[in-house]
Amino acid sequence: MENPTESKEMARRSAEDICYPEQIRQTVHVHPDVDILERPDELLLRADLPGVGADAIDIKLENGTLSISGKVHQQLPTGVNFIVQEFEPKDFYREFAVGEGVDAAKISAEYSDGVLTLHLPKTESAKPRKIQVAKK
Amino acid sequence: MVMSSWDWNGGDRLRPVRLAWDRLFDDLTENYFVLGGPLLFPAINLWEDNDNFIVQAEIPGLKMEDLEITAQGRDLTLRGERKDPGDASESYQRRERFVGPFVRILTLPTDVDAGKIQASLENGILQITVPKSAAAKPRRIDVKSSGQKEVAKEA
Repeated sequence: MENPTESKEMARRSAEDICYPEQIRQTVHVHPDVDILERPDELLLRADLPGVGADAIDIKLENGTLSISGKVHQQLPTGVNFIVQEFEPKDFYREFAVGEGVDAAKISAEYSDGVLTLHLPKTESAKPRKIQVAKK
Repeated sequence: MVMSSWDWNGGDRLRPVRLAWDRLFDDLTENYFVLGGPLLFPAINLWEDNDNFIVQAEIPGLKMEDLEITAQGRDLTLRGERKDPGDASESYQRRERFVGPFVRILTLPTDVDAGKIQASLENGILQITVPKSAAAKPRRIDVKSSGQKEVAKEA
């Protein structure tokens, strides 16, 4: 179970953090949360891009850098009374270094329910291989 | 002097404290023990116009059937679970996306018409429209000015 002192500390900190609900993300871009998992034949990347349509996502692989950007069209309404404001629709951007082992020509992507899924197939030489050991 | 924390018309000074309480409770009961998860999922915006409260929540990866929206009194509760889409045995190089059950409880400042709540979900953004009860909507009272004494009557 959780250490009670730590819980208290967390509670105090979170109370401090959320006492100012008017504070929102102040950056130009939002960094999407991502999962990256490695499978035998590919790297799979999932990114949370809520509020971005499939046609507003731009994925590039250049000089070993994979960049993902997503445009958000919706804006916060004006002339209304905000009671809670925890996020502001902002464009997403994030980049990753990608090694030689990815077959750039075969990268594919899909988007559904606000989540981008990116398949980065490994090149033949980067795939794990089982070496048979011959008996003598 | 007793200051009511429910004085929404003039008492905005206490609002952050009340929100903190609402969320703190929320977090400690439900979200806190989700390892690696943010304290607050999903992020929420709540605003009001004359007729409705509008709630927006960022819930990428969820479908309507993964969600439960309930209204009781002035409390609007959003409950759900974001499930692990992969095989637990897979090797993650990076894992930032929230996984697990969540609850957010929003206490609205006025009574609402719970029977007319509507929700829609598009590209991972949930929007809930909560109509205010007739008694809670702002009304404009005409003030007549004439020589005669009149009693203001509401329709």
